[in-house]
Amino acid sequence: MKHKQSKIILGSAIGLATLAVAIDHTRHSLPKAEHQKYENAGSAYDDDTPCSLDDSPCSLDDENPCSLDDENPCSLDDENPCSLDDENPCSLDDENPCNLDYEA
Amino acid sequence: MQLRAEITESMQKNKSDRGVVLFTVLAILGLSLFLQFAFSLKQAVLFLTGVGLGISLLHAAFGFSSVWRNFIRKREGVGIRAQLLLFMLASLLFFPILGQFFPEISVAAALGPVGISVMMGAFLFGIGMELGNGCGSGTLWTVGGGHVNMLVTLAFFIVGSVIGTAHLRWWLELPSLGKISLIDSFGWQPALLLQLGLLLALYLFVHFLEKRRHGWVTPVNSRKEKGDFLNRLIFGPWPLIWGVAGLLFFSLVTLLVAGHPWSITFAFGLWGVKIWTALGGDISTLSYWSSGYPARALASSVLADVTSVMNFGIILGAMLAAGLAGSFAPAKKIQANMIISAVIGGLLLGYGARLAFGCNIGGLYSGIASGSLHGWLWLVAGFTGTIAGVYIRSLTGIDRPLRTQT
Repeated sequence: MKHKQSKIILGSAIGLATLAVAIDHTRHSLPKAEHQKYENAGSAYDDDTPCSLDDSPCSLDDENPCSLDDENPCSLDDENPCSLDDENPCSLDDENPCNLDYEA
Repeated sequence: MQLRAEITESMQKNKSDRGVVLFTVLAILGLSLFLQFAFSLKQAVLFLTGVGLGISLLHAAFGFSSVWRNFIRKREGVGIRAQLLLFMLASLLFFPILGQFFPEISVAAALGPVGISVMMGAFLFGIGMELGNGCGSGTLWTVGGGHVNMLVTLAFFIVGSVIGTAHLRWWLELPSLGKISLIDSFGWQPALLLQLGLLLALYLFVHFLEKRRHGWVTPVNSRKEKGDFLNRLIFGPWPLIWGVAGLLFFSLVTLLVAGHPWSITFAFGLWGVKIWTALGGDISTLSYWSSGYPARALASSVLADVTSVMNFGIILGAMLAAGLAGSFAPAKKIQANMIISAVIGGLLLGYGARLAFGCNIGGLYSGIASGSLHGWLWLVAGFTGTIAGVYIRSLTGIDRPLRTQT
């Protein structure tokens, strides 16, 4: 095998390896899906906690007055009980026990 | 400008391959910066440590397979004595650290079980070294040096490593004494004295056999070519003693920065399994990859794995050294029996390394330098396998028959 042939084969192998590493790195660097984020957030999002998103005062399910369902009359304005204003029990403010801060 | 002119003149004088040097320097710079920003400074330092190891290995031509073969066939012992010297010096540095002489330094030893798995793995690895024409480190630096036939060995080294992980559980169920640390058993000071005594006895035994055959011994610091220090440091070749110094320094850096001794072959299994899964292969039955560090490594970028990053560094370091020395991608006649031998050798290397808890670096060098008894078992079984491999090479026509050698 001549010197030039060896270089071409080596160059191709290195190129292929670089591509494989890049693909692998990209696959593992993709942002996490939303549901995974909530899974990772721990007990703050468990159904049994007061801050659960299911059947709790802050629940977003269709029968809850704070639901975001299209047919729900609740607006998000400040005077509405479902408002996201800081003094509202469903507020997302940092000091609210139901806030979505990951360290909650 | 004067420095640039001097570098150009030296490169011309040494017949350096400028294209290879430029490509490699850019690749090393680019990857080290990327690792620093995407991962950590630690990862970048370990990559550069790999580069240093690659340069040391190639410039000093520091191998195991041909060195052991030359001793068995011709009683040329200079390479083995250099290895034993490296083991002694590494023990002197590693034992106090692992023995908590410096309590602020927390590092792990390369411990493996003293059992059938390691014994059989090292024996198969020894055969594989001779058929594949390279060991763990040797395969990497020869690939970096542009030896095309070693790409075949590396490819099947990876395949063998994956098969090894599939069978490892069964091998580990065979009789074993468990992990035995000389440092834990005797304390680091008595263990160090015991180990230095054993290594010195081996050194003198090799020296004796060499002298008896040839009437003289080649010194470890012998120099074949003359030239000023800096020129030889950059362009090579290095005397073996420089290789010992380089490997000692960079393996110490590895221990202190990574927190564990230098290893190579875990990455081969990881690369193989990643490729297999990317091709749609199922690894759900491979328990090795389902928990602990292997599972985490599999779920992360390959650039997050220390062993992989260091291996990339070794390949690029060897490529840089070969480019500087003007020896990259040598013209070579490749015969069919060499390819078959490389395939079988690569498979045995990979399979054996997994069973033996490491190759000649992770199992033998790091094992002995860590005071692990499995490193000594590796040495005995690996050398026995090498003797078998040397005979197989003669029988299959790769080498001349042993009896015609003088």
